[in-house]
Amino acid sequence: MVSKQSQFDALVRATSADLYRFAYWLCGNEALAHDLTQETYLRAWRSLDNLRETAAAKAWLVTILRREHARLYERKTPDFEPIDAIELPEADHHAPDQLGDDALVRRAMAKLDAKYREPLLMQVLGGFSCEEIAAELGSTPGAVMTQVFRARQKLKAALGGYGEEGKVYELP
Amino acid sequence: MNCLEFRRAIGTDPRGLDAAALAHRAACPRCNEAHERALQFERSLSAAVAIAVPENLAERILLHQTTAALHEPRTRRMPVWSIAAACVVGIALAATLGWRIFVANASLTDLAVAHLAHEPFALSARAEVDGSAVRAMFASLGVPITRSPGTVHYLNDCPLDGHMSVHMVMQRDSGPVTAMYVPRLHEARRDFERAGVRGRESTLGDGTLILLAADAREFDAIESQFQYAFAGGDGSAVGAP
Repeated sequence: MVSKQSQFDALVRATSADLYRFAYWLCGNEALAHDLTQETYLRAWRSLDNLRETAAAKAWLVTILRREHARLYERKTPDFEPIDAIELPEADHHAPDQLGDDALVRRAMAKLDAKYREPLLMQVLGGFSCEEIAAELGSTPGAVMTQVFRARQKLKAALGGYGEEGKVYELP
Repeated sequence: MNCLEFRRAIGTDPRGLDAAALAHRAACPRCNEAHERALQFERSLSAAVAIAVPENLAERILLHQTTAALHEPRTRRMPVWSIAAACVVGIALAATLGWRIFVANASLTDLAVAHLAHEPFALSARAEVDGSAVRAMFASLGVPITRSPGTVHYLNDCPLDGHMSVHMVMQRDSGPVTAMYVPRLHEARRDFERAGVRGRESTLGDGTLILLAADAREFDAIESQFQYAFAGGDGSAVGAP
């Protein structure tokens, strides 16, 4: 019989890194992302009995995190810079020649409109399907497919070297 | 699947191609190259969004959780008789209020009274909640108070009418008194009785304080304690009347 605490330990160790990253891309501030992540897990602990399937754990946590983030803005307007105005951290686990590329992609990602950035992050960071993203965002799978398609187009256009946005998937 | 459909598919989810897309890729060298480029971009994207995670993040989260769990008021053990008594009170309340409460256009008062039945254990809580936990709960809802409003025996943050509220119970000589504070909602001051529950709503700071009990004799004293708790700093938090 696995105890509730053991189950929670395993959940935290398996998911906290990605959840922190998702929190960071939601709010654009490392300290706030840390607080949001902690608060998310505290709420998850309090309602852990509601988690029936381990496969649904990540989606469940993302739901709690997004609510926490929304609640933060209901309570007060944090005194933070907009996400597209911040200095983005460099990854510390990549080869030096990759750091430059990462910084460019991050800046482009930070400038993406939230309606494109959020579903794309859920797909890339969380590995969610369009159907799962639609369920989480209260949207439709078709709308999510359009959003993630356009998100990639906009990113590639912003990064240059891929031609204009509309030509990204131009056929030969 | 034709080339256009394939390009749309790799733009939507390059790592999640279905059988038809994979068959097209195998038959079309140009689309195969396009898919390779899309996967290369995907690798760059994954690496870029994977920002560095704070050192010992999981351990910090677990420390935060285990520390909070130790001080969680609702996790305190209660005697079996106390649990049974609370259940009886809760069931009786739910049965008494029942249909009266869950009517259309329920007011804040109705919802607060109905909420009593949702957490029946609260009414029999006897262990004192640390004052710092009370202040922290208010602070978490964006309401700083300078001191705890008297001795609190149950503390929780509960949704009420779409707003998060601080739900407290204070054991007094006249019996348990439930106090709920709803930030940023303003109701006119009034006393009421609803299905055998006596109540009072009053504006306090930037929100509404709701007191509920079988006996209202402690309401004045408890309301004063709350006003005192809110009256820190320049005293501007104290609401009218």
